[in-house]
Amino acid sequence: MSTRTNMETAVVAAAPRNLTYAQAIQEAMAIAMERDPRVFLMGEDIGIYGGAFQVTGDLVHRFGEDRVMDTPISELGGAGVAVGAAMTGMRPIFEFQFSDFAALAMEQIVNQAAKMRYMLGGAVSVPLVMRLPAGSGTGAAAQHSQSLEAWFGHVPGLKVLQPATPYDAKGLLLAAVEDPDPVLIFEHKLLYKMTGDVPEGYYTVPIGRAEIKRPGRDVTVVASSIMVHRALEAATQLAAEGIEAEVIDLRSIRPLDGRTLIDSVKRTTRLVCVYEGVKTLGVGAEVSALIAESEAFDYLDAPIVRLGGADCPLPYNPQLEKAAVPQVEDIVAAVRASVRARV
Amino acid sequence: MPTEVILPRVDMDMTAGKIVRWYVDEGAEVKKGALLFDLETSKAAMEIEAPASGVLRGVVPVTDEEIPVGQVVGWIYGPDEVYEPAVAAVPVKQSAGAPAKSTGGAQFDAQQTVQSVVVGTGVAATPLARRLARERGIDLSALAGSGVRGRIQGGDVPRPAPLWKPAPQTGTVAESRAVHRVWLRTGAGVPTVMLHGFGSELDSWRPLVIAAPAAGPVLAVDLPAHGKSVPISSSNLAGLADAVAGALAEEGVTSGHLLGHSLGGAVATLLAARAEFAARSLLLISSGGLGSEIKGAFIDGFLAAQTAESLRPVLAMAVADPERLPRDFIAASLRPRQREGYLAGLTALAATLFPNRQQAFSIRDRLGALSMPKRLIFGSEDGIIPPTHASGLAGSVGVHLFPGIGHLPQVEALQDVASIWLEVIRSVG
Repeated sequence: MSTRTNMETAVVAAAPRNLTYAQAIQEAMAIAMERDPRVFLMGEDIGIYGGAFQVTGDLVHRFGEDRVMDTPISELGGAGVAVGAAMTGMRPIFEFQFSDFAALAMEQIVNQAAKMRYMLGGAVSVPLVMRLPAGSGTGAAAQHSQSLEAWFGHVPGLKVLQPATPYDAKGLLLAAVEDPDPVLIFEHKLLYKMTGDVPEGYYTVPIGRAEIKRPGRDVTVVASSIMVHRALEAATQLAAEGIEAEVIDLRSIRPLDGRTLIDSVKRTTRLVCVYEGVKTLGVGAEVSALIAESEAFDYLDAPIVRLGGADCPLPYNPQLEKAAVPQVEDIVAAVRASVRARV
Repeated sequence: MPTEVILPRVDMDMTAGKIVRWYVDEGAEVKKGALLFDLETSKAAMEIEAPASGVLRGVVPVTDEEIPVGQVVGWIYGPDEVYEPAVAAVPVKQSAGAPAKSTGGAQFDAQQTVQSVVVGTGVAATPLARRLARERGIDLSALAGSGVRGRIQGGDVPRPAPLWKPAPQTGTVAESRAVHRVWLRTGAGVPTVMLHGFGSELDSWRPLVIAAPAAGPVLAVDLPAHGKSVPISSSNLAGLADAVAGALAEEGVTSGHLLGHSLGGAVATLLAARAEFAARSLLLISSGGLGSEIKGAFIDGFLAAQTAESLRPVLAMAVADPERLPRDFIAASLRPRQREGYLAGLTALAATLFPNRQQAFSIRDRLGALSMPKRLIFGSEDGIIPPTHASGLAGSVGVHLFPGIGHLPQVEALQDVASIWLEVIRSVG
């Protein structure tokens, strides 16, 4: 398992168990609260209700309403309290019901949390974690299905993560709680029920480090979040045709692990970027430009391909919704074209 | 195809030039033969005429940057040719009825794929293919691309011929020959014969051969008493030239370029003067035979050294900066010493060639009398042979004096020497 490569960061690396992505996140929050009394949870309906996607579950019964706090239906107000708490020494973990609603809290995230350390000359920091359920595929329509990570990746002062596996979801959340600066974690809604090996106890996954999920010699496929799984499925299909795709899981959008990407493209000479967010001005655009500007440029043997979400609001119709974001067959076709010089 | 406007070579030594003024604006009509741009080289300024009639497109801007000879600096489009701006890779929509000349800004359409991948030199090639062609000295425009719309890809760039040609199975094997030689590169074209300096061997030429992949075949010779060649009885300069001439005759090489370093330079000059070998050009590096002085401590130290430790300071004299001594240089110089008779042969040779540690031979007069193109490369910091030997030669000998370089320009200024070698070869054709 590729996840084993992260084991060195484990303080207590007990036997792995099979947990869902949601369970892994819940466990990470519980461990963080047990380890550090400053850690507490905030969000709409995260208490008795257990969260919009049941991620906080029964944590309110274990830690009480003082540490698992329901907030009013005001993302801006809740985020403002979380930023203030972080500035004054607490370590809040703030949950949005849908990442789309972060638009309501933009002022606190972009103009306050991201800038406090800089504007106050390092006198304070904002050790805030925000969890944002994201992505399409649940039939939740245009206002509840977006992938907005690139918005926040554009803001200096923020860190933006996209865990793709239960293992990374737990390890990255625990790393985010330790981080002195605001960290936004985009959790894909379709991944919540996905299962995977998760060790017991405390461990962290380093922020800003991509992971080669599958090595390959012919083409580098850079993906994040649920697209990692689609890329891996595509790579399996392509292997049957003799095309060996290297699949890289970004894990972190900001900071971006340029070294891993550059080294990979120098080996494979081709790059396909797969991301669910809108193609234009998205994560794949940044990865493409990073490669084009780097020493890997002189190794490119085919045009870089961006496979991103359609430039439209996400449709409610399930077939159209599916068509608006990259699917396995799209990745297969794009990689095939890149390798067989049909781009 | 639109007509390429290239930066022309207007004199022999020119490798690059600046465009100081365009007489025709981007997008304007130009007639064949009309003034197109002013070219400035290190030596002269020149007016360049349009190679065709049509609309001028894709001109490189006027800057202080030098542009290499042969680079495309613009295109002239005929009446039926559609211009597609390539620089920003912005696609141009072509309406079916009337192909637009695109006089206005290019229309932007994110969904349409890029129509043209023509960039830079006017050849469609991937960055990988461009890099490989650059490294291997191959002209991209001569290649056929296997990619989409003929795009040249990495796999389309031929690999250089193997450097080592196995010894022929017929005839005598190399070991039994008095004068050992190896084709460092085979292939078509006029060969270059390479002669190393005192104490060296033919393998020392490999980096230079690799650095000039387009320079054609190379036959490198171990001088008598050097490398794998046996000593000869008449070990004066003429004797060395005789031995090499014999080896060339055995190889069937009757004509070629001569490239010699130090002692090998003097031998090459004698060879160039001989009737049975038609020398096309003569390139001498830090050549011997141009004056009497030579660093005695180098020859004595080289012959006396038994270990890497004692050899290191001796070899360091040969370079301006000891850091530039290649890592395997000392080991390579020590290796032949294990062979019986090697040092004795070399010592005897030195006694004849450098009695009292002076050069006992001169090629100065002969050099001026030779009719083929002649070049001499020296390093201004040469500690073995004084670079002042490069002065006072016949005016027909082109002299390159590299500042801050010692006795081994082919090591210390490898790329420059490779360029000069290529230049000489190409100037002869």
